[in-house]
Amino acid sequence: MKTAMEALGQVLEDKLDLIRGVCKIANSSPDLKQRLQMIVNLVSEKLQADCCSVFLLDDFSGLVLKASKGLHPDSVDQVKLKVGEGITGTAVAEKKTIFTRNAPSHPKYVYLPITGEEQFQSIISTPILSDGECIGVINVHTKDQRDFSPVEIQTLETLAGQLSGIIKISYLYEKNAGSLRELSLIQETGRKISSILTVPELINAITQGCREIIQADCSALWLRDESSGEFIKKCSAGPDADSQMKQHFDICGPDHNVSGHGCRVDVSSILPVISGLKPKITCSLDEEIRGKYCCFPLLSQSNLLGMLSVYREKPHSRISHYSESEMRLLALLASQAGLAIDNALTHDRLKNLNEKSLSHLRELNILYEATQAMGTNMMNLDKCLRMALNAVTVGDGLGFNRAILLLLNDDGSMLQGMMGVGPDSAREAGEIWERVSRQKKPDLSEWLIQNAEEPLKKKSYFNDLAKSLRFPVNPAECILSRTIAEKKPFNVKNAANDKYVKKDLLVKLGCRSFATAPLMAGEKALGVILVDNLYSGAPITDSDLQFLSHFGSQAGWAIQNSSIFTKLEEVNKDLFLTQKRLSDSEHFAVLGELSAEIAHEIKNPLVPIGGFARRLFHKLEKESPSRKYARIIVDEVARLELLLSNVLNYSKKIEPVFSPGNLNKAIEDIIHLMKEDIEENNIRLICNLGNDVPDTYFDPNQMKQVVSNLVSNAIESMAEAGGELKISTFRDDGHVILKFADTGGGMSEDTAKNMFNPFFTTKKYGTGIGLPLVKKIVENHKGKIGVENLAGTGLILTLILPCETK
Amino acid sequence: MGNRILVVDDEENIRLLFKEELVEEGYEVEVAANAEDAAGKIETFKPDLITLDIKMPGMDGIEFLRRLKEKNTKAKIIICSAYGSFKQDFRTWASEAYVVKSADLNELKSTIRKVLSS
Repeated sequence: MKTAMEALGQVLEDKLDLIRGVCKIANSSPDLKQRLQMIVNLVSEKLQADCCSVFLLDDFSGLVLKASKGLHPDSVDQVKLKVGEGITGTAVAEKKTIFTRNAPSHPKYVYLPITGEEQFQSIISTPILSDGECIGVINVHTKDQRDFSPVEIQTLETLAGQLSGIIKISYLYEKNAGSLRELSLIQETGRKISSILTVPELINAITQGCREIIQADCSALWLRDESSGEFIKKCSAGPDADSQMKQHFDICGPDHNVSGHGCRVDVSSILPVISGLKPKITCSLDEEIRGKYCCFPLLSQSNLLGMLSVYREKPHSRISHYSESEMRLLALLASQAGLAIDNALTHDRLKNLNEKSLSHLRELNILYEATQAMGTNMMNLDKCLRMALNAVTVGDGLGFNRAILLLLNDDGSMLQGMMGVGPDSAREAGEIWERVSRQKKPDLSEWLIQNAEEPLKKKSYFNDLAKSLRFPVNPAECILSRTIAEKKPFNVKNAANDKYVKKDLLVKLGCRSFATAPLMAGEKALGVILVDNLYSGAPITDSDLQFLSHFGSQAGWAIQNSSIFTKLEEVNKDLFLTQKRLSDSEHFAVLGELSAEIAHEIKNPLVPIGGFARRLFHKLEKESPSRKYARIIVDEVARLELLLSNVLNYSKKIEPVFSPGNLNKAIEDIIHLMKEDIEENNIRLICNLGNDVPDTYFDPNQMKQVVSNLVSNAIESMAEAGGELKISTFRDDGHVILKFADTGGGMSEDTAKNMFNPFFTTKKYGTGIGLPLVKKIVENHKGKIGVENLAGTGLILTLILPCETK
Repeated sequence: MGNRILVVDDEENIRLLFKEELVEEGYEVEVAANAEDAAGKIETFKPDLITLDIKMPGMDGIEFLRRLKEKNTKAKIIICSAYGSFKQDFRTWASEAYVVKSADLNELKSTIRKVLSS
């Protein structure tokens, strides 16, 4: 009795031990397989069994051996049983524990050689139930033929109940973990596709993403061509993806011409898939691959943009190839992807449009600036050509490395190189680029104008080279002539093999490729502009060429204008010279007249002086000392007469000598000389010489004479009473103004009328030529004199001189 | 009786000098200060020869010469001017001779002799 009781106590204790152990395991490692292994180890130990194993029921595979103690280790995950198959399968099917002391003799016994189970005799097989459903089975074997006690059976069934809990928790955990993984994948993919804006990268991310999310073998993304409606494969992912996806569409429909990337598919072939615009597992045709493909439409605001397809060899479960959650995930991804692709396409289109309009704008701007600079500033041809070439070569302009301008001669038979702009060597090119990139440039037109004003680089090999180019016009032989004859640009990409490129041109240019464009003024070709990128090696694009061509037609006008202008300028110059000669002769005549007049006035008294001296000489005694004096007078008068005859017979022209200088300086010089005179006469001098008076061309001696005469007159007018002399200079609209205002009481009406007539004077000792001389000199400087006679107050003389810089 | 000479000159001292010198040469000399004065003296004095200044107030010598030639005045005319440049003026070519005025009257005297003897 005691032994039986002791035995029972031992059994109960073992049972409790076992359950405690299992509880411990339930709270240990989260990995189901590990837990199961720990449990089978514990069970076989506590029940003194030789073997313990657990099978779990899988929707797709049936019962799979998941853990064992005592069976061959290789059999785990390999041994599979159908529900109802063998003793184990029967326990599952019947949802009740089956036990026998001699298993091989059991009617349901199925021998599984891989497990090595032939060594075992007894078996107890207990289903693991969850909510009345069987989810697996736990088996215990012994080598001897053992009769299992009810306590042992009960213990195992209790254990199965615990196991059910452990398995369910693990399943839940796995599911959660899976969902978490999916969530993070979809989040990651979502993040990727919302942050990428270039279409190819985006498509790649989507294709990779959908493959990863459901661990598909391959995936592909197709976009619908808007004009043809065809679906074009843009991207695929996964090993052997192209052939897999090819197969897909080979099966899907007729008219397939599918071959790798960029293949085209007749839309009708996949219409069944996408017609509902809903995700669909392909329902097509071939039994073997049915269900392995899954297509999702890529939609954006119900527009069909394309589709996403996945292929997976291995099904998710026996019931469906793709699980519901997988379909949901893919659908979610596809809907995100649809929007993202639409955005990206729109962005691309906008960007393209923007770039296009920007580059158009840039071109227009450059054309505008360049022609503005060339057109509005009337200039000579040389400057204009230089501006044109600068516009073509400057980085902010067309940006070519070098440019040459050739113009047709008057009869159109020859093309002559006029000018070349560009570095002579790669080294110089580097220096220029570095300098230019550091320079802060004003706007293009301003820069062009400035640059054209600067003196040319002393020695430019390239410019000399350009000038040495000279070709007879022959469109059948020469690309330059063709440019003119056909009035269109040419992009010569391989100059060495181009039969229209003459050898000497090629040798001189030393470049492999160049472009030409005609310089057009309306319908008339004036010449050719030739550009290359010798140093940067950048290819000349079609848009460069088009731009150059536009420029050529704009620049042509400017060049023609400027050529006309230059001719006009030459004519003008001739006119000016003629006029100058004319005015010189007038000037000569007047000055001649003036000096002759003076000579005459001197000569008139000289004649009687000399004449009477002669008479005296003859009348005086030879010994008389007075006779000697008379002789001296006679001789001196004769000498004076001889001097005067030079003037009276011929008056030398007084040529003004123009030189650059500042009129303020001339005034200051004279005032300095006359300072004492001014002070002695109690005259207050107020000098207001403007800083804005520019350097001009004038004859400093003559202008000093003018200032001196005017100041002298002013001093004389104020000599008795004193007064104030105000001298001021300033610039006014292209003129330099000199003002002399005195308080000398002004002039009478009669004097004012005659003030510029030669020999008219009111002064006791005046010559009367002061003011006429002033007038003459001012007129010689193309200036004018204004007189403001404030009778009783003073006189204001205003000299208005042009501020010509030449 | 010597030949009669009329000296036309606006400068009083020149008139005086010429008169004294020419009188000494044996001529009968009358003077006039301007063209108007001279015109009257020609009527009354009836000179054989006139020395004519060009630059004078009022009518100048050239114009006066033109008028005399128009009226077919018999008197021979010698232009006697301080200017040499009027020799180039074709209007002075109407005169019998052109002498540049000088303190040395020898040229004038010899010209007068030549003109009167021709």
